[in-house]
Amino acid sequence: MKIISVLVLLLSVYAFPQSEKMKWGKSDYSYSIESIEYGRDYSINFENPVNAITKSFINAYWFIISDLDGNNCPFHPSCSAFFVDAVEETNIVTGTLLFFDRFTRDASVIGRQNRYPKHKSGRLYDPAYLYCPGSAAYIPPSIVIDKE
Amino acid sequence: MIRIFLFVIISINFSYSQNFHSPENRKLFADYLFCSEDYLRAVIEYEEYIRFYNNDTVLFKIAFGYSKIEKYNRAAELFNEISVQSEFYCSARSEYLKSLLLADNFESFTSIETKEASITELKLINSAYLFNGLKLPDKNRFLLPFSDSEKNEMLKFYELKKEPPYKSPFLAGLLSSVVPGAGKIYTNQISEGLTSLVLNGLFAFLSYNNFKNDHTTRGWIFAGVGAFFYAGNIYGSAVSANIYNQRVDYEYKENVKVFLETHNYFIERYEFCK
Repeated sequence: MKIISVLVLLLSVYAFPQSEKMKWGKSDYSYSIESIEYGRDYSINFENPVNAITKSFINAYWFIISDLDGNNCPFHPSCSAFFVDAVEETNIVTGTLLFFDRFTRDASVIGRQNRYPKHKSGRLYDPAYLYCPGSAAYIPPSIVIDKE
Repeated sequence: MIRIFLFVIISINFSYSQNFHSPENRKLFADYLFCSEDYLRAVIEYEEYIRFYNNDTVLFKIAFGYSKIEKYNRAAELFNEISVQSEFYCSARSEYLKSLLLADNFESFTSIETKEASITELKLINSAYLFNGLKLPDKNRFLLPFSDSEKNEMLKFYELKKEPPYKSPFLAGLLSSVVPGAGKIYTNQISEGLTSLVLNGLFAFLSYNNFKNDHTTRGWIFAGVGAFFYAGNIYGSAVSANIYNQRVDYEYKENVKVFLETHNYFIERYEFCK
């Protein structure tokens, strides 16, 4: 009986051993800051000629200028992405007008932090659909937008 | 001797044993949870209790709990189930209307009879007019159920609903076409309006200056870009007026909700947990 008890005791110890390494080993913690940049969609829809033309220009701008310069637009989506969305949601003429209006908003730096809702990336949330005919909407600045 | 001792111990245990899942104990626990404002778990316990005993107080508390956990449609259903004979009938009617308001179910108010409605019910029914798209009743009829202290605020909301301080998208666009940025300033976007004025002025000057100095290509480029900024600003001003109007609606509804919240939807507070 004593032998069995001792065996059970020993076995239980060996069954759940805890090595020094496991207990005190260095943790592989990553100190890198999580990227807030989002992957850009370079795809072009050739079936839609307007999208093909505008997206080609924007892709060229992203590849040659923006990616190297960094995504510095204070808004989400960026002005270039806004243009693509605006053209997709309306048409080339309205989309271009919306883009130039966005450009004016971009240049207007005074007090804009209090005028727009915030995106989770920390930028100001200002998507094209909020300005499109029929879907124009107001989002209070106190709201933090969690979606892409 | 040992057997007698064990028998005594076991007998004592059995005599003092409690069934914690009995309906009465569940109700006691539910009351405790309810008073601790743990409405979700209180509702679960009350629902177990009500399977055994029909009790208006408990049914009312379940509905109230659903309302507190923001399940307004379910709360409205349950408040509606409380019978006329119940002492909670009047409160349940008011809570039912409150739940409809909170569930944004304003259409249901159109089918509610006002002949036998209490003052609180009338107040809630009239408050629904501030949210729904129906034509507002006459001012005096609208304000009739409200007390003097409530009348001032309700009158303000009534007038805002009747004549909201909207901005005209057409006028905004027209103003921006005359003076770039004026439409934005009209819609309270002063900073954007001034920026637009500066940008348009800058491109106009650059274009004029280049034409004047015989740099026609550059002149056309600046004129073209400036034209896009000009047209974009006119369009943007009209959109800005639309967004301004939506903001007016949003802030109006928020203000009405805050007012109703602070007045507890004109319903007296219950003393279940005294």
